[in-house]
Amino acid sequence: MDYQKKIAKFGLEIGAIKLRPSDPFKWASGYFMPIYNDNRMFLWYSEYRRLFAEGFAKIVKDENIDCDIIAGTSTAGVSPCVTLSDLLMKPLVYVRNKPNTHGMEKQMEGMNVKPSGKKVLLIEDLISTGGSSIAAVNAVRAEGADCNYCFSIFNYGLEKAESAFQNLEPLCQTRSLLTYKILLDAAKEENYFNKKEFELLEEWESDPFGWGKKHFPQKYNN
Amino acid sequence: MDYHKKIAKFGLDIGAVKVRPTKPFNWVAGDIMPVYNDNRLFLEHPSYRRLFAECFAKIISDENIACDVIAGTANSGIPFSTTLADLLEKPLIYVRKNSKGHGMENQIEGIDSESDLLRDKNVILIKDLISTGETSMNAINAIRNKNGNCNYCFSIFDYEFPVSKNDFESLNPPCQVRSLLTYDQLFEVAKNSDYFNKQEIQLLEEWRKDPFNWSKKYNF
Repeated sequence: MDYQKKIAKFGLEIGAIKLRPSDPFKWASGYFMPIYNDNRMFLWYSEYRRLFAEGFAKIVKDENIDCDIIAGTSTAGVSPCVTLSDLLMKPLVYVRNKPNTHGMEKQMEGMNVKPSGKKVLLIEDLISTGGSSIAAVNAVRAEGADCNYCFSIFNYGLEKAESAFQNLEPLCQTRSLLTYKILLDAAKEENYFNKKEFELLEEWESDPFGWGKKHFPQKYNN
Repeated sequence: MDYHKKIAKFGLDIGAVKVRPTKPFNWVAGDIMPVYNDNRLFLEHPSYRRLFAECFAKIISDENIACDVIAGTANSGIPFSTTLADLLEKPLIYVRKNSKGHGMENQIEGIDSESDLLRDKNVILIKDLISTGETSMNAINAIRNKNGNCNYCFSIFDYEFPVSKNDFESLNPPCQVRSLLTYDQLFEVAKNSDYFNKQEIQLLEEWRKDPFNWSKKYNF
């Protein structure tokens, strides 16, 4: 079994990834969606922490990506970033959503000097609508460093996020260990859902923001 | 060379420990102090991240400490707890300062909010720094509230203020502290090298006697 499906199956098993086509989740944005993801639940399993790092390292090597510093988004991206930077023996920083208000804290923590011209690889746990990832890329760039790659454990593949990364100047490329398509394939292999539910899940991909209203209009009236 | 000396020297070299007697620092808790410690600056150096983890692991094996789970405090304890948990191949969680005002977020991340995974597990808490001890107390209580045992707190650097020592000892059961470097060890290293001038050393000695009233005395 390839490692991506292994991650998908284990994520479903431990509840780090939840698929509920018939009883969707309400996201913070107010939309009802059939998926929920909390990759922090993988932290309990050292084998998976290692597997994520090896998966990321393989992408770096296969694509021959230049990388001087590994950056993790605070807080959920930090642990995966640490395991990767330990494996590659690279400097590590973490990036906050916004600068802290007190003392000497900065938006980017871990370096005494500005990383001007350094190639920073950003690690996210999840790329959803892309808002926090884009903010992190911009924070790294504001320090004078290059940030042209953002890796994630999971990427929902939402158009909104894709175009936000594409529209950056220069653009930032995303690579993800797990995609929605791989997740659905894994769920199918394990017979998690009936045919009707799989159809609902497949439909979500083509119109994620219209999906909830179409299938669960009553939820939006409450 | 003892590892605490190595860590002290390198920390002073990279500015992870700073002393500014004439322009003191505002600590998070509001105190004005002539010393500032930022262990995040070690993150740039993978060999030190590794050294910290190896030193923590050595304490565990030397003292034969029971350890099922490694916990880091958010944010700055997370990196060091991760490297240690990876080295020991142990489960990892992290503890936020408090759960209030975070809505969906749990104070303990890495387990489901309803999960009983921590019950009777021996959890070692990893802090980058122990100053007043407040965040440590908060994290220990969060772990204990989830029915985990938290009887050891490891840190990279510890000021060993009486207030924090007292807090750790007053817990029931007490939580024992092990630190890779203490302020007094650091001061010895700094005093015997050229890091501080005579005046700075005098000031630090003065500060050490009554750290929380030092700034008032000197009208900062």
